[in-house]
Amino acid sequence: MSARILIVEDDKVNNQMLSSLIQKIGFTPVSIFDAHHILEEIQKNNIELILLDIIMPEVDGYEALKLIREKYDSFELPVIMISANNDSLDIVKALELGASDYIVKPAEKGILKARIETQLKLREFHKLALDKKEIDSIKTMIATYNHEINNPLAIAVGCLSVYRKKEDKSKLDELESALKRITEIVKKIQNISVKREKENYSKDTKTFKL
Amino acid sequence: MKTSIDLEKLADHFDRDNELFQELVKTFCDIYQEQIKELKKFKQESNFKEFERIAHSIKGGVSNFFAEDVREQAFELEKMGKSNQLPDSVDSMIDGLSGRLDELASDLNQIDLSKI
Repeated sequence: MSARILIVEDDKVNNQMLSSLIQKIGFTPVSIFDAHHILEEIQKNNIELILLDIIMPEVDGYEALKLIREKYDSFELPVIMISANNDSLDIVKALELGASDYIVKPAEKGILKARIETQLKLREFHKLALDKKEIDSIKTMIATYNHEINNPLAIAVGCLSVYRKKEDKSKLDELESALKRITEIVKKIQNISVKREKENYSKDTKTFKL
Repeated sequence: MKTSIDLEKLADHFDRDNELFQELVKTFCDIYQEQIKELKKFKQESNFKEFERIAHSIKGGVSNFFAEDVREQAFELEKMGKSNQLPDSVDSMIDGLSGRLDELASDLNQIDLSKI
């Protein structure tokens, strides 16, 4: 299934042209003519990349970009700004607000294709990197739990053994305590969700707190 | 042709897809007159921001057809809106642009990209 590209452009001629170009270069265009409900459109249409015009009525491209970046970072959802202006100030402003790239209209097919493919590749690489970190975190968690459970388990077995030999009831309290520790750890395993947490990954945190 | 359309660039831009070209010409013809009306309205209201936006939109639409002289006229009006200066002479500039857009529409309707 080809990537779904959201085109946010108020001018009908340019919107139609971009939509046609996107189809020609092998992607699926989704067109809107203003940015009022852009977040809903992104979610509803499973958008993977956005082509965002700058000058639009009421909610301009910069405002829309800020809304997008509050929810999605540039790897999750690349945004390529499109404008008929080639003003470096506009370009710098867009990049500072979190745009992934900038294209000047009229967009040439080859350039558009190259820029979109680059952003989609970066997105894919980022996902693969997150997956790898997730797997590394799970491995670390398994090792940690292994140790945490083995320790009280060894104590429990040891206590049982002593109790059998000497009928030392004080060992029963120790046994109970060890078993409670194991029970708590098992509960934690059930509660921990292996969701991706971007802030933890960006800080390269690989451990889960027990 | 009355406007300075660069036919080679036009044909390249559309990949000589005459069907797509005709669709866009139709869309352009359907909207530019309304855009001119909006320019006049926003000039009357001294709404510089909206005036700039409409002129920018006309410029952007025209840029798909590589008629540089028409594009420049729209750009001049855009710059005036951006600088918050809409003197009375703007009225004749808007009329001038309107006339050029009529000519552009006429020229575009005579073009068959498959023959370039």
